[in-house]
Amino acid sequence: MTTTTRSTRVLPTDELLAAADRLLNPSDETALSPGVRARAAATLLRLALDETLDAFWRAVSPRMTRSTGRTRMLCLQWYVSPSVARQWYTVWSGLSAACHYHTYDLPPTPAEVRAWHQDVSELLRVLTAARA
Amino acid sequence: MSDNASLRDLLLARLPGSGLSAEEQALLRDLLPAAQPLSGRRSGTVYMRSITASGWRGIGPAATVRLNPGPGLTLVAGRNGSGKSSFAEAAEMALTGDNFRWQGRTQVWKKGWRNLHEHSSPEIAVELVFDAGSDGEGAKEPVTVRRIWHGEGLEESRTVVEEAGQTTGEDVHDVIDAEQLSLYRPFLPYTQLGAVINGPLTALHDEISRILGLELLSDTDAAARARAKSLTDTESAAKALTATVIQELSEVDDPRAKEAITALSGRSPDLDAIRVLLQGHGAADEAHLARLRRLADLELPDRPLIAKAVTRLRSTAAVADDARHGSAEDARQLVKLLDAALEHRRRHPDVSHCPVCGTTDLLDRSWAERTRAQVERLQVEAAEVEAAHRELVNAVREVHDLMRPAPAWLQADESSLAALWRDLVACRTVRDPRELADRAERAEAVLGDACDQVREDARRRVTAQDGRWQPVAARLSAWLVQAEAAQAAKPARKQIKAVRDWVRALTDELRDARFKPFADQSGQIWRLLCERSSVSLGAIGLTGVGPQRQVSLPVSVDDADAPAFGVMSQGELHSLALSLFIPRATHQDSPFGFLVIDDPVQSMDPEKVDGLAKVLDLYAQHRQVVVFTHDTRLEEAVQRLGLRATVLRVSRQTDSVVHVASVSDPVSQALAEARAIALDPHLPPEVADRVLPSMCRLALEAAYQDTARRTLREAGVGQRDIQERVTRPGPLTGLAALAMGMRGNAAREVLDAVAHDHGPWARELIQGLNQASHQAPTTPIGDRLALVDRTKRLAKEVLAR
Repeated sequence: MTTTTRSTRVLPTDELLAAADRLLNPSDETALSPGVRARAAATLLRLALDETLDAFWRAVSPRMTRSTGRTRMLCLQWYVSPSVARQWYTVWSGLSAACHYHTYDLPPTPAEVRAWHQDVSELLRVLTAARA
Repeated sequence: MSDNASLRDLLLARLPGSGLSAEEQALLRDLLPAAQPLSGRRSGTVYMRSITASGWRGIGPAATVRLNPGPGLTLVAGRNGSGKSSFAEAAEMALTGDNFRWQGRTQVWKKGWRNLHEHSSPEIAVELVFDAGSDGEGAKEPVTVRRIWHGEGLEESRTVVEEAGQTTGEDVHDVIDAEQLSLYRPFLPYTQLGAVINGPLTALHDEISRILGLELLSDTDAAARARAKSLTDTESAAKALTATVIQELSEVDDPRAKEAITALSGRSPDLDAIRVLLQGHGAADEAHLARLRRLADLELPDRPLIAKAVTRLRSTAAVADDARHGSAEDARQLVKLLDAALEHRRRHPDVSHCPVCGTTDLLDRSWAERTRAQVERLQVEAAEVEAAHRELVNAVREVHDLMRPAPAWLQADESSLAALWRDLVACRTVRDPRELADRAERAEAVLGDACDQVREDARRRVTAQDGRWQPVAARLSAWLVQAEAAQAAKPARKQIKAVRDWVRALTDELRDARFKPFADQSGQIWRLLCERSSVSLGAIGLTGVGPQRQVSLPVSVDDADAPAFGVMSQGELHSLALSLFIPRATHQDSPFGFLVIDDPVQSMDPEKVDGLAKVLDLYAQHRQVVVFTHDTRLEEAVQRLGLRATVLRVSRQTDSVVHVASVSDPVSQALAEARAIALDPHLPPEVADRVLPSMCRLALEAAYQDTARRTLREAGVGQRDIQERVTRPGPLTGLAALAMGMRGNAAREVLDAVAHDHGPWARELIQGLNQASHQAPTTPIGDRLALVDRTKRLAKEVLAR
């Protein structure tokens, strides 16, 4: 998990989701190929997941934002629920793999990213609720 | 199979409410196939404890994969060529003597089974554990099925069954039912995954139908069909015979034959009329034959008796004549005279002269004596005459008595004979013995000859009629037997139809009911595997009958119906195959507690691998799932999803030396996660206090579960029961009590036992973990790594019990 996005935090998570949504459902002619748009959307979605987990931990124990990604995921199950924690990790892993270039792997399909979009929206809702 | 037995019970229980008549119910009971004795001597769900191979395929010197013989997920990972698939094939080969990979292969291919580096005889063995199950037999010894090759060919092998190091002399089929093995197929090699769908769906339909266990019903229906056919045959045979018999009857000149034709020619033959006819009471018989029969049995006057009586009459008449015309009658008169003279002398003893002639001195004493003697002699003569007279009277009466009249029926019937008979009777009026004798003799002779002739004639005619009738009667009797059978067949056929209708309705109902969970499981597996696929699978079903029967796989792409195989990717086809195969291999009636899948991950995209991990985890709750896999994707998915699994790694050195090492199990998995957190320097104390004890507790729980399973299994507890007791939510001490084989599970006693076994530190560790995970805010845990280390130490000791 990277933490480089924190300095450039300009968009709230819901706007990240909206941006991803626009990439997945372009309204007008766009020069970007579907593969590129899917990968860009995946990046935005992973960013939203990171932001949400950071926000969750900031509310629970601010020092947690400095711990490793695995620690944050493993500890999450004791604060939310094992299934949410595993789901977060699964979606995050999927998105991580999708937003990096692999010579041996094909880019994600828009359908796959669209499904992740749904998962991320659901996770955001659950984690925001748990934080409150 | 137990399933068939219960189906039999279910059917019999449904019978009273079936609406079938008592006869139909009895018929159905009769049609039910006999209960099959259980095949195979061993019972209980079977799990694998180890797979060993040497000189087999990629494996040189003996190598063993050890498995936990109970529900749970085991991944056997290894690179291509490491020998992991050799283990999967060894297990299948040992138990089945066959392997999908070898089926239909050429001879060249089949030669590759022998390891190139190992020159001793190839040998494979599977160690099996039979679940104690519900039969209360207690713990059972593991059983080893070993296949040893003694020749060059793949077929040149023999299999031995061993128990406690001794061969039991059993056949492998006594241990593993070959039919059930092919029915449930607990082995799923990669090559077969593709073949499932490529094979004919008719075969799949049949195999699933067999799993649904409705053979009893189809067998019953087949028996009913055969019975109905034989009844129909009986009816048509009787019909054909009727026509033949009518034809034959028309050629016979006999009144009974005509009557029989009438009885047979109706729309339904008159069986009663034929029955009466055969008993000799037919109407035609009455009129004509009865008369002949009576004449044939005509009772004649007794000719010798009459002749004798006539002879006697003649002789008595002659004697009587002699008596009358001879001295006898004179004697009687003279006796009267002499008696009177003697009486005169008695009254006048002094007078000696005769009062008749006047001669004196004549009636003296000597005269009296002479006269008395003469009187006696004369009296005897007279008695003889009287006797002759009586004899004659008797003789006449006797002849009269023999002149009996004709039977009443004859008087009205045969006039000439009746007239002769009247002549005979007329003799009764004759009084004169000589005349009587002559007339009786004459009348008897005439009548007797006439009667003899008539009777003889009647007898000849009756015999002639019967001679023609006899074969016809035999034919009719045979016909009657068939006609009676046909008559009985008609209602029986209706009964069978009612029974078949009912059985068919029951079959449909049960098939739908039994197939539903199967279809539901297939749907669930498909959804887990292909959550994100644009191809969706509807409710699969068993459709069609006869040659059209198949497994219907309603597939749609983006909500448009599509033929299943055209639109599916290879990964989706494999997913579909798994969706069909896993419910089958894990069917509740399967005696196999294990499921071996070789390389299901190939051609699956990451989404599907996650889905597969979830499916395997789902089935591993109740089955021993062993998965051989060539890459780390499944292992990663299992770790990522936090699923409990034992991971073994197979590696192969030069010269086919294969090593199997355990790299991960639920305990080490939990410990590794706890250690990762303990090592993170940025972990805030309050989070550590809350999370670490819980994670350590999870690791201990996994260790105690593992040992508890083993302890319970060795105590003869069935897997279902074990699973229920081990996964029941409760305090750690409850699991510890099970693992230590304790009867009670009071926390204090269990903790004392833990302290006794491992030292007081162990008790403190468990108490501390319990406190931390149940009470918030928690007490600080102090040294994090020390906590994880203590947990690891206890977990290891628990596992080593």
